[in-house]
Amino acid sequence: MNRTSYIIFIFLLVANSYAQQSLTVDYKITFNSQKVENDTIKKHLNKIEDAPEVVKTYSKGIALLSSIKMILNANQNSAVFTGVNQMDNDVNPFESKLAKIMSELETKYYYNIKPNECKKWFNFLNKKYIYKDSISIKNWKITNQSKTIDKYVCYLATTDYVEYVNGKKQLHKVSAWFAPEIPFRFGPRGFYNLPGLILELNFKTLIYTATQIKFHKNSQELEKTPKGEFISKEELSHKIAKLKEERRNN
Amino acid sequence: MKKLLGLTFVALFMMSMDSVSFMEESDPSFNYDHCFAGAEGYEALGVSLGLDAEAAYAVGNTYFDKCVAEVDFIAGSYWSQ
Repeated sequence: MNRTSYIIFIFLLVANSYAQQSLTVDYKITFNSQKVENDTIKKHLNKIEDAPEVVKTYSKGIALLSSIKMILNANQNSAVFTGVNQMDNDVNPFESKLAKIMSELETKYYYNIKPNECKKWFNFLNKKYIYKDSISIKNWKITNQSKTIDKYVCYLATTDYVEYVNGKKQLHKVSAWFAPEIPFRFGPRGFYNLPGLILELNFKTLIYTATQIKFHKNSQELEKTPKGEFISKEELSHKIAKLKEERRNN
Repeated sequence: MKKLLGLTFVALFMMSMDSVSFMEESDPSFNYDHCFAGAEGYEALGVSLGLDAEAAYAVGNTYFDKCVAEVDFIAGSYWSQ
């Protein structure tokens, strides 16, 4: 029996005993400065007149990430992931907005296993949008690496995240540590469908780590996706390019 | 007489040019350049720091609105004097 089959076997073995249960997971966000390419940063900063001010603002925004808690509420076949603001009221509004945008505090992810889909509901320039995506287990590459998080044995899996920057497609490697002993196939920031709960997610420069897991005896009522305009990543990229052009021309 | 009028016209024209250029240099409402540059800087840096494109744009846009409001406030104070 290879490693992946073994993990799926463990997952199926425990899944039955959790069938009617649900859970709530708290995640903290930390900024992984090792992922930042210093040369690229320097190149951008050389073009900015008030570079020290920009760096200072970003640094404060990054520091505020520790005041943000992300929450996953999950049943067996559906889940919602969103954030809770724990920032002080006297924080500089621009820096607090920066932290909110970085953490996607006000964005919500609605997951479903059957049918397999994840809806990202987000606010962009005061308009609500929904972006639909789906990840199947085939999109994940489960590795042989394992480590213990809290008391759970977790396995490392990786996948690719696609985005469009200035009209160009970019791929980012995302890694997730999941626990087959907790048979809920969800995780932070739109990543799901691994055979176990994601306890740690490395997404670009951010690390989401589970800090608390609460099990509930019964399934919980999850909120439904609010209204919003459906948009694809490509359409959003075109919209941004158009907005930038308009700003330059005004 | 014609020569005098001509010279007066040239002098007045020169004075008006001076006052226009003086206004352009002093009037802060003419200058949003640093807002555009700053917004693009925030966006580019945001992408490098791991923000998605729409998030980086939102940060740049937030800075741009803040910057324009500051310039308008300063310009408003200038013109109300």
